[in-house]
Amino acid sequence: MSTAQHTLNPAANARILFTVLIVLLLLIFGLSLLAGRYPSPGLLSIDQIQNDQMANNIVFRMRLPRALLAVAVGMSLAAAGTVMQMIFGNPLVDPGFLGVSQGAAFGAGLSIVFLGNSPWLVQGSAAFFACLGLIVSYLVAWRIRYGSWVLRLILSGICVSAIFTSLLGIIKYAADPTSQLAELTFWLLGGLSAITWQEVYVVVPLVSICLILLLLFRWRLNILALKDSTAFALGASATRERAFLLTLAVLVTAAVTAVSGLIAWVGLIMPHLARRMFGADARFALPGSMLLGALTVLVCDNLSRVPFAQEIPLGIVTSLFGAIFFMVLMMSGSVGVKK
Amino acid sequence: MSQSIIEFCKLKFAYQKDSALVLEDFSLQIKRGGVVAVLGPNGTGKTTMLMLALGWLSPDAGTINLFDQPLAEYTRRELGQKISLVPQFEPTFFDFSLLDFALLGRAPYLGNFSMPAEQDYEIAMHALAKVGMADKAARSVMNISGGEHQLVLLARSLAQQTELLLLDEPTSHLDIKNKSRLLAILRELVAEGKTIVFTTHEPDVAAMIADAVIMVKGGRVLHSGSVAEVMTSANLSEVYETRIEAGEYASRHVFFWD
Repeated sequence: MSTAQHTLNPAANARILFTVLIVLLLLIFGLSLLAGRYPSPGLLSIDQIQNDQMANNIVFRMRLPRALLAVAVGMSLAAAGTVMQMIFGNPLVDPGFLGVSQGAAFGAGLSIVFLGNSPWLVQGSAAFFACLGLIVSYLVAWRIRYGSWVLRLILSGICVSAIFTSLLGIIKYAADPTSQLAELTFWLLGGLSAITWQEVYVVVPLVSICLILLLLFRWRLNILALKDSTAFALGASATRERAFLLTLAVLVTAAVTAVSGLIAWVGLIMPHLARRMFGADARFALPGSMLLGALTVLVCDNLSRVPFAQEIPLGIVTSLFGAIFFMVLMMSGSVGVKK
Repeated sequence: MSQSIIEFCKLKFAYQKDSALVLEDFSLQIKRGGVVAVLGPNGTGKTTMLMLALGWLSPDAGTINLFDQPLAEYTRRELGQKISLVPQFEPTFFDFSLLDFALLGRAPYLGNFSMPAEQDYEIAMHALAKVGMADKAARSVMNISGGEHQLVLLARSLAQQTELLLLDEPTSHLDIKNKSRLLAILRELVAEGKTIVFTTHEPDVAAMIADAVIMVKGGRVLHSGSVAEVMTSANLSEVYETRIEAGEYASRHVFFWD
């Protein structure tokens, strides 16, 4: 790659790896539609899907939207994680920063306990408060009078998250422990078991638009990862461009979190893994991270619903495997933190 | 074309309202070609001056002209094609390869939604070769020495292909071997027609390479002119508030201080 004999542009090398990941994703997507516990644990055959109305319904009304949303969740969280880690110049940031996750959790709690427990209300309220978390973080950061823009955002994000966490604590305390508290806890654990086409119709188009914009902008992400004055010297309007990308990242996070609950670790780890595979250049690391995120959430969702009769919440599966995987990743080399 | 590449006229600047002025009545004209050293003790506004030249900071009063046109009339990208900065040090958190890092210098030429093309990779590689780092193009920016880090920052600036290069204390982190290497590269760049402005607090570095020296203290230009004119014992002692003797040894300027 370093010699001038062949092309210097690494796009050709990356193409092979991308093709492999895409093929793998399609394979696992197909398997996700077939794998399950009806009529007995195992794979459905094409014959069964054609002839058994129940099997047909399960595949097309339950498993297909669920698998699509798993892909959307994985891509969104991984993309948002990559964007935020680069913009904040901090490899330990995840998409829940800036009050987004805690805002969503508070919104869901508020709806479940006080506003009424319909799926639409819970999702709408979660999405609303996730975005509110971002807006408040922004406004507070605007009013802080010292430090760089990034530092101000991080500081205000921490405060806003803490406020939402406390408010959620009050809601939990006030909740009816026999019904509402269990419902809320289950939401917070995260999962895709309740997904129907309704959620797909709302979330997937929004997420697709945001992700396409992020992908188009991805090379410039490298510039925005540099110091403010350096990014300026390279012709970037750093504050405005960062605000644009952060808004996209938060929107996708809010959209998927509202329907899936809190899915931990995906947004933190996928960017690391992608950088390990594709290098730090966001031109390859961002799409790489999205594909890896989609694969991971899809596999984890299958692990959460197929092996056991009682489904395990997806958030638990991603946390469990995420934390173990992150340990292995750290022990096998750097995670990019040098200080 | 005009002789002047950048001109500061009666600049005033303070970082915050009501705080002390960092630059006061700061006027300076830099001509095309050659190396200009901005010499002065720590904390006299040298870096501030570079940041003003870059357009990153705006003066509270006074004007800055780049190629005889007010700085404010340029777009961000135009500025990035005319003037580049080599910062003193730049922390990196992600292990970009040296080639990917130098490639960032192409940003002013690429649209928001564009990807670097083969030609951009070649320019970045050429810039790395210029600073003697082409053979390490695949190495990570996180695994190089401080001296190499400085050279890679210079390579990124070269990939910007600007006529004017600003270097902020380029030698302060370098050992003698790397200083000598950097000065040799700067001489080559001047021979190719670039104009280099660098800040330094080391008189010997300024004397070795500068065609013109600007001595600043307390946010004002105290003296400016050629090395022989400006870097006298009296002027240096005044600027550094320390007794400094300027002499010659083997036709080189040397400085003794106590």
